Amino acid sequence: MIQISHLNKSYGEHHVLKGIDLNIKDGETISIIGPSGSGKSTFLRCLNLLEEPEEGQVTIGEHQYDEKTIHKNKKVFSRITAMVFQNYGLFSNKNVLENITLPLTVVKKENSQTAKNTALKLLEKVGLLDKQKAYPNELSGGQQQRVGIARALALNPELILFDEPTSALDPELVGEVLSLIKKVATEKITTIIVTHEIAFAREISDRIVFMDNGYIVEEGTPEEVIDHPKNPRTKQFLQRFTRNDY
Amino acid sequence: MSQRVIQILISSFGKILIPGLIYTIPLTIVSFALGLCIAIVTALLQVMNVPGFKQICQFYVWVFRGTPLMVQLFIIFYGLPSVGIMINAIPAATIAFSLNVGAYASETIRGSILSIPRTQSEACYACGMTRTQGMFHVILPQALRISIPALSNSFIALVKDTSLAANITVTEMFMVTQRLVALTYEPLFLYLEVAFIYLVFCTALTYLQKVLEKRLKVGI
Repeated sequence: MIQISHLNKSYGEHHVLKGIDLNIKDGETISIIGPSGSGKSTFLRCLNLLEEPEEGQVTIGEHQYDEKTIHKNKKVFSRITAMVFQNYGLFSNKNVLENITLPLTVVKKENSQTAKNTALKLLEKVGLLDKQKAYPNELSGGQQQRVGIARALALNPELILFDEPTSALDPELVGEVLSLIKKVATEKITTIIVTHEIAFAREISDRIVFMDNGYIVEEGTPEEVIDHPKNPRTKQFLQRFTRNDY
Repeated sequence: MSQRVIQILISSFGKILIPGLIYTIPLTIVSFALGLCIAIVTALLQVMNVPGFKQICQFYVWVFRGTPLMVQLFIIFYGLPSVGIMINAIPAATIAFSLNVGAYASETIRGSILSIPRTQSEACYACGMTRTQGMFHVILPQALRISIPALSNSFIALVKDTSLAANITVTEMFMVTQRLVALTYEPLFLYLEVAFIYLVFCTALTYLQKVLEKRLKVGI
């Protein structure tokens, strides 16, 4: 169970998150959609404390932080979550295999053989077993992102955060990454995805959250939010995507 | 060029080269290795913002970049004995060169660390690593690779700077040449000869730098 209440975050004068409340059940897949600058990514980054909110409370499983206890909770929240980045965030001095085993040996203190076995199993799952010795700059964007997803899964987190995982990809590479995320979403792991792929969000999500201007404007099942939006701002946003897009 | 000059150049070549091989090169390599260790520690203490140490490092860099190497050599070799610290010429030169090159190289490395894209450290954090773990496994290795061309500059500069050790009685190549000049009165050709030997050393080192860069290019 994940509970988020009254999350507020500003950059100077700019108030990015204006009191976000959201509850997520274990194993749920949530997609966050909304216009650029609406605070989606900032919200996501507050959940693993890459960004520190000024106010609010987040509970993931049995761990909880509020604005007063951020500092001593950073380590815990960075470890119970995993993140897939828009620009992949692979360690560029490590090859594919090492990208997955490094956090396992360094953070989880697994021995290198156990870590390697885990990594190989996941590389098989993402279809990149043959690229295990390659360096990130030798891979396509789609392949890099699949390694990024394998690395996140290897950490076996309570929550996986996808921050616009396909936004940096060439159009022809989006498919391979989306179909992998779809596979991940059907597993019991709790997932939050920030995405601009409306059709994809509709297909894989248990719930859709529409954010605009620092607020959660509307949330519900894909049918409720995408097919029958109630709020005028949601309607306006979705109008930009023609019916054929999803 | 007269027969005599050619004679002198040939007979002096070995006399200059040998101190080069036993003083200049070891002094350069040992000082640079020590300087590099100092530089990495100094850069890390500054970037990681270790309270107290950061200011000490800034002070050290400020002092050693802001004063001439020659003056530093003289203070360590001729100055410190008057407060009871006696250091032999070669250790004194090693200390001065290490501290001097360390100050410059620390800024090179610090700059490279700061130039690593923020995603790299964010990815380390998101994978659960502490700042120190991320620094040692991901950020510093990348930063050191980026630093190689600039560090090679410092290294080659150091090869030539070791000639200053002649001023504190180290009989390295330049001092030997000066003595030969005093004996033969052929300053032009002998100084050209020692310049040529320095050039050969630096060329060889530049070649090594290229090899090293190629080897370490993976992944970047």
